[in-house]
Amino acid sequence: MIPSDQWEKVKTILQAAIDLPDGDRAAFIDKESAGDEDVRSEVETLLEAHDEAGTFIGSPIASVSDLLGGTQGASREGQEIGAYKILREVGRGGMGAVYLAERADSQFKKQVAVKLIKRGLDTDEIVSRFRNERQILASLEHPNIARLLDGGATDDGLPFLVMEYVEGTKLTTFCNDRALGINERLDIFLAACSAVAHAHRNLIVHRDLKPSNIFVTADGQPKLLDFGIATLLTPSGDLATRRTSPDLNVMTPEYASPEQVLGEPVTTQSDVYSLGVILYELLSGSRPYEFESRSLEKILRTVCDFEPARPSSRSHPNVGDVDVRPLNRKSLRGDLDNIVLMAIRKEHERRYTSVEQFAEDIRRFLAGLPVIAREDTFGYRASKFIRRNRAGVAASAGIGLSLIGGLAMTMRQSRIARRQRDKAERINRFLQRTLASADPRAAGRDAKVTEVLKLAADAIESDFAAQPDIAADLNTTIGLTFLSLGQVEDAEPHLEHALDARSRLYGPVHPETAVAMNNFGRVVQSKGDLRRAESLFRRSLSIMRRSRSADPLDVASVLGNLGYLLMLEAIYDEAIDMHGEELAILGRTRGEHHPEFARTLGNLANIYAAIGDTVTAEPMHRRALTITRRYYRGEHPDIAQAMLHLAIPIQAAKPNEAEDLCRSSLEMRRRFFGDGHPETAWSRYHLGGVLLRQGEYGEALECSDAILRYRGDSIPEMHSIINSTLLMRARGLGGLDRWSDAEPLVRECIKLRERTLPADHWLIDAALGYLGECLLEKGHFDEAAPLIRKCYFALRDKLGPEHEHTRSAKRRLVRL
Amino acid sequence: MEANRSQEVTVFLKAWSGGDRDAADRLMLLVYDELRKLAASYISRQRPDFTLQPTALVHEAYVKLIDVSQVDWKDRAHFFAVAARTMRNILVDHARAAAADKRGGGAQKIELDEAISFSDRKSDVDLLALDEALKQLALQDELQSKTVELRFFGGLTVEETAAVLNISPATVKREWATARAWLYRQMKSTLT
Repeated sequence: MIPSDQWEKVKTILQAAIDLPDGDRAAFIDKESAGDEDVRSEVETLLEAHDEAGTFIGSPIASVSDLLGGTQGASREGQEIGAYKILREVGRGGMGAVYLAERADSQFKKQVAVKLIKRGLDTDEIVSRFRNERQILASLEHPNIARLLDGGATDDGLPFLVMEYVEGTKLTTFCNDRALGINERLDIFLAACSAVAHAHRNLIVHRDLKPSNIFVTADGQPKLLDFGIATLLTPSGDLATRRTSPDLNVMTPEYASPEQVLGEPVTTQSDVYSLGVILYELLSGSRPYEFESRSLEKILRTVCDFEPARPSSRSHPNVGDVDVRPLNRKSLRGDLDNIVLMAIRKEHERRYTSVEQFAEDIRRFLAGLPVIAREDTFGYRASKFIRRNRAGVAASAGIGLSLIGGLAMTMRQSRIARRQRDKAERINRFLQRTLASADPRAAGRDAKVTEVLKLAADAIESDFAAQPDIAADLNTTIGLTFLSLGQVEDAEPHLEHALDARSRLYGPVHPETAVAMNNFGRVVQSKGDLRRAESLFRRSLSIMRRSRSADPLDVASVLGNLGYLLMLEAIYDEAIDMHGEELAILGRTRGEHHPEFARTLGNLANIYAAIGDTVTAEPMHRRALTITRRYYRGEHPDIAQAMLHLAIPIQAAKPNEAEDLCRSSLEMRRRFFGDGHPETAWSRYHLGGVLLRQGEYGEALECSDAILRYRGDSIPEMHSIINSTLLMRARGLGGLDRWSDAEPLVRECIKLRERTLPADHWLIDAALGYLGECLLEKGHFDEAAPLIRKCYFALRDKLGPEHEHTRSAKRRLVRL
Repeated sequence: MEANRSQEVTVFLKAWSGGDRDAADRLMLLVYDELRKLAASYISRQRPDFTLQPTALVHEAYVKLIDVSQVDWKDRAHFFAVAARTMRNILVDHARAAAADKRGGGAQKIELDEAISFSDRKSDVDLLALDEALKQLALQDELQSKTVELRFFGGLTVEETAAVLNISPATVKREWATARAWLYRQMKSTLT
C-alpha cells in the first residue's frame, strides 16, 4: 500500500490515463508522474489490470432486478418510463422484464411493449449503441417483424427499449393448442423465415431466435420479437471480427449455435442454426439437446460435441417444459429429418448458406420436389476437408467459406453507405445462387469447396460484366479463399485479375489497388518468386503510405507480408522494422489482447530467434502464447503455432519444456489439419530437432520418416519443410554414425535449397557445412576442409560470431 | 406487527435519504436481522447441497420490509445499500463455512447461483479473497470500497450508487473503474 497523498496522485493520473488512447498513455504517465517511480509503477500496473480485468466482478452477485417488477409489479405499474406509462407486466426473461405500456402524452393510446433491461449491463453503452443502431433497426419494416420504436434510460439508470406490442401466443404453444399438422406448422415457419431473410438482407442478425421470440397472432401470422436487441446488449462493437467470451446473458443455450457459445463471430448462419432448432422442436416435440447443468462447460460440450438424434426418432418430449406434441413419426423420416439436421450442423459452413436456401428446401419438400439436404455421409467427408482447412479458411480475412455471413457482417460492421450495401447485397445473392446450385452428389469426396468456388468463378464474368468493381471484389474473395486452401495455381488468375481491374478502375496508385497488389504478392511469393513478391509488397506499401485513406489494417497486412518475406531472405534488420511497425498498428487498432497482435509478436520474436537473440525472443513468445490462450479457450491453430514458436528458442536451455510444447502443438495440429499438412509437419520437424539435441536419434528419425511420407503428395517437393527434414534426417543418421547414409540426404537438401532460396542464403551454407562433416567422418579430409571453412566464415558474416549455428560451425572447424 | 415494521423501515429510509446518518444504523439493524433470519431458514429448508440465491433472499426481505407504494427509487437505493452490506457478510460467511467444510470433508456444499442467469461466471470470484481485498482497499480509499460493495453485492446501478453515496454518476464510474483495476491486480493470483 502506498501513502495516501501518493494514492490521490495515482488515482488522478490513472483515471485520466484510462480515457486516453493506448498510444498516448505512456507519454502522459511519464509527464504526470514527474519522475516519481513509485507513482509511475503504481499507475502502470493498475492500468494494465484495468485493461485485463474483462468481466471481473462485472455482474453483481446479488442482482436485484427482480425487485423492480415481478410479483411486486406494483413498483413499476403506473410509473412512467421515458414517455411511456406502464400498464402491466407481460413477461420476463434473461434480459429483464417486459411491460405493456402506452405513450403518456399521446391522444391516441397506442400500446407498446417496454422492455426493461436487467441490472449488470452497462446502461450508457447500451443506450449509445441503441442510438447508433436505431437508423438501421428502424429500416427493418416487415409484416412479420415487431418494430423497435424507442429506447433510453430510466431515472434510476436502467436501459429500456420500446417495441411494437404484439398480441399473440408463443409459436410452439400456438401450434400445439390448435393441434396443427406438419404442413400448417411448416407454413407458419416459412413466414417466420421470410422475416429473418428480410432482416439478413438488411444485414441485421437476430442472434437470439427461439419460440418465445416468435409470437403467432390469432390469424396465424408469426411476428418476430427482439430483432437487433441481442446485438444492442452484446458488449463491445466489432462483432464481426472480435471474439468475446460468450455472453450467456443475451442468448438462450438451447437455441444457440456452437459459434455463439464459443464466443466466435456470429453471422446470418447462426440464425439459420437457431431456426433449425426451432423447426426440430416444432416437428418432434423435443429439442435436440438437454443440458445436465447450466454451467458454461456443460453447455459448451453439449452444443459443440453432441450429435443430435434425427427428429423422427424422438417420439417423446425429453424436456419438461416443451409443450409441443410430437407428430406422426413416419412423415418426418427422410427429407424432413435431413432438412432439420442440415440447418443445425455444428460447422456453420455445412449448414444452409442462407435462410432463403433453408426455406427454399422446405418449399421443395412441400411441393414434393427433391431437396438439397442430404444425409451426412457425403457431407461428412467434405467436412473433414473443411475441418482440416479450417484455420486457413478462417485466416482469409474472415471470409473463407462462410462467404455470405462473412461478407454480410463485414459490410454491416463497417457501416458503409447505402451504395455499398446494395453492392454487398448483390454479391450475397450471387453467392447464394452459385452455392445453392452446386450439386453435392456430383462433387463427391473432398472436392466440394473447390467445386463451388470454381462454379462461382465461372459465373463472375457473365454476371458482373457491367460491374467491374463487384467482379474485382468477388475475384479477390475467391482468390484469397483458394490461397488459404493452399491452391496457389487456382488463386493466381483471380488475384491477378482483381489487380488489373482495380488498376484500371481506380488508377495505379489508389489504396484499393494497393490492397490488390498485396494480395497478388502473396501468390507470387507462394510460387517462389521472392524478388518479384518483394517489389509488389514494397510498391503496395508506398502507395498506402502516401494515401490518407488507407485502412491501417491493410497497411499492417502489407508490413506483415513484407516482414515475413524479408525474414525468408535473411534481411533481418528490415524485417524487424516491418514487424515492429505492424505490431504498433495492431496494438492501436486491435488492442494488445488480440490474437492478430499475438501472431505478429510471434513473427517478430521469430526473427530475434533466427539471429540468435533468444533472450529477446523468449519473453515475446511467452507473451504471445499467453494472449492467444486467453483469447481462444481450448484448442486453436494459433495456440499450436504459439507453442511451437516458443519451443524453438528455448530448446537449448529448457529441452524438456520445449519437447512438451512441440508434442502438444503436434497433437493439436494433427487434429485440426490432419497428419499430412505442412503445418503439422513443422511441429513434427521441431520435435525431431529437440530430440536430436537430446541424443534421441531413433525417435528423431521416426519424426523425419513421418514427414517424408507425404513428400510429393500433400507436401510439395519445393516446400521448405522437405529440404529441412532431409537435413534433419541426415543429422539423425550422423548421430548413429551412419555417415554413408547421411551424405546423399544432405546433398539432396542442398540441391533443393539452391533451387528455392537466394544463392547467398545462410541455410545453404549451413547444409554445406554439414556435408563437410559427413565427408570428414568418412575420411575425405580434402573434400571436407574447404566446405567446413567456407561454412564457418559465411555464417560468421551472415549471422554473427555469437549465433548458435556459427559456434557449432566453429567447433567443426576446430576439429578440422 | 409486519405492517408496523414495514412502516418503520420506510420512515428510516426516508430519513436516511434526507441525510440522517442515525437512521442508516437503525435501518441496518432491522434489515440485517431480517436477512439473517431468512438466510438461516433458506438453509434449513433446502437439501444439503442447497444453492444460495442472493437475489431471492434480498427480494424476500424487500417484500417483507418495504411498503412499495411509499418509496421512490432513491429510497429503494438506500435499502439496497443496506442489503448490499448484509449480503456481503452473509455470502462471505457462507464461503468461509464452505471452505472449512471442504477442509474438514463435510458434506454440505454451498454454491452460489442465480435464478435467472445460468452463467457460472459469478462464482468465478473467490468471495473470501474479494472480501479481504475490499477491506484493504477500504483502508486506502473508503469511497471506492463502498462503491464496489454497492455495485457488486447490491447490484445498484451507477445512478443509484451515486444517490446513496451522494456523489455524481460520473464520479461513481471513475471510482468503480479504478477500484476494479485495483482489486483485479490484488486478486489476480486467486482468479482461475
